[in-house]
Amino acid sequence: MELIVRGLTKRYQNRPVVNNLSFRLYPGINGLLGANGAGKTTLMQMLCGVLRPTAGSVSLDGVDVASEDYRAALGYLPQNFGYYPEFTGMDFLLYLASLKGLSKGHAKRRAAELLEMVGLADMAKKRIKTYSGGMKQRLGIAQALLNDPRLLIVDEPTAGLDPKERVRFRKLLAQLGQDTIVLLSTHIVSDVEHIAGRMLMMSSGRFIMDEPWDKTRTDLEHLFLEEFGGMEE
Amino acid sequence: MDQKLKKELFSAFEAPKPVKKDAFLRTHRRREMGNLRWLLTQVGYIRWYIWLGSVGVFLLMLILGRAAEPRDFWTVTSLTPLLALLAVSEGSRSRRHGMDELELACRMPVGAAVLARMTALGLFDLVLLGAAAPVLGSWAGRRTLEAGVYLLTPYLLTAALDMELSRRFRGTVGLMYSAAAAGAVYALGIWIPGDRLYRAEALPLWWGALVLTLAAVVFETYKTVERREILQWS
Repeated sequence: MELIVRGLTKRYQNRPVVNNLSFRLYPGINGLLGANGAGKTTLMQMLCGVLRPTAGSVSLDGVDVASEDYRAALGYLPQNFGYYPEFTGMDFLLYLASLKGLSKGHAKRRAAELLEMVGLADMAKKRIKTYSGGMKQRLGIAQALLNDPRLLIVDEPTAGLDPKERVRFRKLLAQLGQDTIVLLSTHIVSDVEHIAGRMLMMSSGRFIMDEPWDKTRTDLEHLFLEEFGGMEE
Repeated sequence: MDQKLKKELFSAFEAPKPVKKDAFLRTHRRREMGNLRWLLTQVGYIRWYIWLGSVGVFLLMLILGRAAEPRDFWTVTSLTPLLALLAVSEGSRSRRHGMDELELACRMPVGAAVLARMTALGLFDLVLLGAAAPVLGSWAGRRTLEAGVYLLTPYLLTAALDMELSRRFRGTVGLMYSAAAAGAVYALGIWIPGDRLYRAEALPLWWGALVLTLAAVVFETYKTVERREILQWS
């Protein structure tokens, strides 16, 4: 399984925000680090097909990003997302499951399973507006996994999670990373340094680092601060 | 084949248990729902009070039509912009509530879901207007077709304006502008004297306006669905 990105570029008013990126991703956890404005979210949006690139192509096992088959294999957690105010947690998952093309029966089973996995089973029938920030984030993670994605793109997934929840999330990702291509964008170095098999660091629309990552290395924070100084969020 | 032999063959050659069934099935991404069933599922996500509001506007038209003075009778058609506003507001909901990015990353084309919902509401409104036309027409001593033109034209004009405004302006701002456009069409129907607007000589102009507004709605619907497929990056 392989995600191939060729010459991916996004310009806004002639300013390149993502600048001619070419890379391949394989099953495993791929960490994406960078300061604010580096282009991480724009890159992720293009990899998910929600933003049209100015140039370049994205394909998963030869299937183009614009096709239904690509989105069938995709799970995405955006940095910020909303919800319809009348939705409960279960309603939210069932609605997105319908947009992912899952049958009602399968969707109900899968939603119940995921709510249990992210510790929201008790909150399933409560309205999302009553959820804390961490609960909303966990719900977001659950929706990204509804369709057993082969490509999972998560943008700042641990925002709002307490340390215990972050550890739980890292364990979940580590399990998924065996059969799934995971691209995890974060400002929090500790989220990725112990689970990622590959590290990408982005600045001004380009990769300044793209190398396999040895989990025993402890200098990632040092590298990050060296590159971005005190700009971490 | 001999039944006994068949039974013995089955027991002798038991099929092996499936191995990695889930992994195998995951590689074959068949849709779990047919197109029609999926579209009907999306229609089910239209909020119940939108349907109720549409029926409410229809009943209000009949009540006001019954109570109005003959010279003010056709001002009831000015209520049809409210129907259009309700229908178009469903189409722009996901942007208002920040759900668009999640929806766009899903397998099924979101544009089709939006189109299904707006079409369902549009057809429902047509049924309501179709039911109102003969009733209002008979009360006013006009033909059903003529009454239909008076009802449909402001509806289509508002729908086209609201779709354009919802595309140009995000979130609640888009909804407010759409509501203002509906209000403006409503006000136009009230402000222009009824005896001038609804006289027999003006009917050809009404037919022309109907054709133009229908074309505008088709165009705006196409642009709305097209725009929904790709996030507007700002």
